[in-house]
Amino acid sequence: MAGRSKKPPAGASWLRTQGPGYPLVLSCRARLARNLEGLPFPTSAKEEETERARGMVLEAVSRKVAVDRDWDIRFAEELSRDELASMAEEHLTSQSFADRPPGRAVALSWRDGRSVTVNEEDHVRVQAVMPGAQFMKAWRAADKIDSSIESEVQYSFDQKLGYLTTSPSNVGTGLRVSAMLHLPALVITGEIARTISALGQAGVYVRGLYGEGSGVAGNLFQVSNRQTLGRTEESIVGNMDMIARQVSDNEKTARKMMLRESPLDLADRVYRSLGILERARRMSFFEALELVSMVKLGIDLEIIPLEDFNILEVGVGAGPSHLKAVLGGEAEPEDIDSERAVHVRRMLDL
Amino acid sequence: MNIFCEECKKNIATVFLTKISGNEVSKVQLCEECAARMEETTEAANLLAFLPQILSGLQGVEEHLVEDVLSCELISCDSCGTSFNDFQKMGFLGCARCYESFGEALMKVIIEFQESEEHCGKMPGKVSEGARLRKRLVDLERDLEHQIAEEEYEAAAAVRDQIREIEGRLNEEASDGGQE
Repeated sequence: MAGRSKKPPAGASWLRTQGPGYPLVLSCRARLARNLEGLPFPTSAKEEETERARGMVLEAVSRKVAVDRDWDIRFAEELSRDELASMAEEHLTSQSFADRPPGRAVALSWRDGRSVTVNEEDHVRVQAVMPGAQFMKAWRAADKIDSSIESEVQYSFDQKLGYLTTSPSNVGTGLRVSAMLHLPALVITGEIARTISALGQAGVYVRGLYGEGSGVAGNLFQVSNRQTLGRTEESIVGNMDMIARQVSDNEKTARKMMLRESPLDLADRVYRSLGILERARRMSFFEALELVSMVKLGIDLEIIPLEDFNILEVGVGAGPSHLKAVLGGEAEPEDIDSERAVHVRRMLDL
Repeated sequence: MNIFCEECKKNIATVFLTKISGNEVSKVQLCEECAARMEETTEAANLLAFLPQILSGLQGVEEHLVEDVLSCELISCDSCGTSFNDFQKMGFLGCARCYESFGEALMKVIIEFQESEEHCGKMPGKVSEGARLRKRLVDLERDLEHQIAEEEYEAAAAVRDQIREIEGRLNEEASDGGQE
């Protein structure tokens, strides 16, 4: 256990397990943003103020939340850049953590995807990630942690605006619920544009695998609620559950259409991707994700008789930081690209 | 035969991404370097992308708001010193007081972005019973309005009873001199 906490394994359980909605809904996440009363937000706080905020939050966390052995509390400055980058690849912390700005910390329950980050954009960010479409369960888990911390500290709260956050885009509930979806057929058929435009009108953000940028690789999409104010947590969560179902239905329809209308084209795409994965000796992260996505589609539609795998698990394991950890030392980008080809072959049993 | 990165136009493109901007979907070809940079934009970017639209939208509508917005750029929060101009650039507020300091201009941004101006979710356990009841009252009144509009009279009657009950409890608390 001690060794494990030093080197977190690639793939928390939510990356390996199949939840409801599999293989289209891969994972879901609920995140709450909170700030401490009387201290400036982390983005404009002085170092001693971030230190104070960290002390207050971690004390509450260690008394009320991290009471069992599953939890591990780490200061960002104690972790190496590579460890932090690996954590970001697993969506445990944001990319900005990897720069190790002072005063940051994270409390993690590796096994089940629960975490509390301190002094990111907000003083406190509580998160729960679960496999598949279990939005209500993820939110309840985050809410429970939030209430426990709240029993020890005073949060910034306004009668009218609710929980006050660093960005007004989180004000009110501070709740962001998201789902990770694998939508290759919508992308190939071009239907994705219509889906995204409809989602935009419904107040849903659509982003790529690594959330905060706008690039999509491996046909992995992250959808999340835009509004955090003026509706209850239950309604935000229920809405996202409905959205995930609808988008999954669209993907299913697109898959059926491809099977019916262009089976040869589909099989050709799938087998070409498989061919490259089998033979290639080096691969960029993005290329690997695209190819793995096609092969996964082929497995889902019973075009290729390969054993099923979780695309998130393969994708996260193929991330530059995870591969660097495997290689150890000062791995060159070229070594990483070549290790990636090996990694993907191994994961897919090729 | 090589394709160059659409972003820097110098390196060879090895990354092929589906890009989403607003509701538009397009395919882009980038080098690894530019692709990695694309991933770095923070969540605040979402609001930031909207801000100019929101603020210019305001200017188109009401003239006195132009002045409000312009004069707001000069307003600074008396608690943390963040200016409205800083907020427009970064998308971040400096402290909880900023919400008051930036007053109406910030409220406009919130209403546009959130399509609401009133929290109706979780409240801290420490919030007083009176505040909790008043909040519940606001929610119920909204339900009532909706139900009457939808001609759901039976449901509306039940909500009206609940409103009366809460009003009764609030009056009681007020006459008790209960702490609020």
